[in-house]
Amino acid sequence: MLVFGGNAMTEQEALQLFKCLADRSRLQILKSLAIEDMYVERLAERLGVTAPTISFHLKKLADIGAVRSYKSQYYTMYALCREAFAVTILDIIKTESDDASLQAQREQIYRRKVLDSFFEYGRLRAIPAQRKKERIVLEEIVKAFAPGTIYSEREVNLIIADFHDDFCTIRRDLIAENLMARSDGSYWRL
Amino acid sequence: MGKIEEFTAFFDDKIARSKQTFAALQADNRQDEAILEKIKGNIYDIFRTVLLAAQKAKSDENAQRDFFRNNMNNIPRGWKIAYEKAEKNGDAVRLAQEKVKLEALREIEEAFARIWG
Repeated sequence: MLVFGGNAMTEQEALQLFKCLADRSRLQILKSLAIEDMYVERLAERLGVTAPTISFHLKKLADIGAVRSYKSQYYTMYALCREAFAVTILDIIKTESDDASLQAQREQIYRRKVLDSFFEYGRLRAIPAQRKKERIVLEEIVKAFAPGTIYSEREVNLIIADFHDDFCTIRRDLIAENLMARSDGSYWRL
Repeated sequence: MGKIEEFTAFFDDKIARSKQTFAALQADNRQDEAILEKIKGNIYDIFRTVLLAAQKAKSDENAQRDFFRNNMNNIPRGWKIAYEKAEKNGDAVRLAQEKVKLEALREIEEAFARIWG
């Protein structure tokens, strides 16, 4: 199985990988990290760009699983994920995409777009008016509830309030969408 | 040269330089940095437009200065909030974008103080 960053690589991920690597600054960062692990300021000095710009590129590289970070004394060090680069370009282009996986990829992209537009730093900007989008948002919120745990209504409200102030609507919709169940004032995740 | 003309020349120069840098970064296959540069150029462009609006809306030079200063204080409020949010949440991508905007703003504020101080 074709693997990048620890998971099977989809066609979409292959596109993201190529897009991410098609940038001189990011290639320079990877070349530097291929020699030794470095921290942001060292990379900035080496490549002649500002530290925020290096952080910007490192975030993009980390998102595709090309680099990882770790703490070392006062510094956050960055390292190349060498295993991620073990895959060959031939492996990538030989991977077949069947209809089901393409559909799953499209669905995944759609979900990501909905979550990105409705959430900002973990807070819900607004409750989506469209049912399909609200379902996606609720599926994300319900992850905050541990399976097999019984919650009081107050606990449910507090957890939902971390996402949005209108916890009553969200609590009711979680029940309506069969993502949670309620009985005698107790709630649990389905 | 009047103050408006001097300030307009400042913006024209910044916008022209930003366009040059954008083209150079693009030619060097540094697309994301080119986009950051474009954001910077757009900030100069926004405030050049504010300066033009000041000229159209007000005839007195002091009123034009106040019009510009008010907008210079009001327009970036959201940027500062966005920067703080990004910093708090360790969002390096958004942080770089908001930093570029605030850096351009700082240059504009300095030019404003120099020309109209």
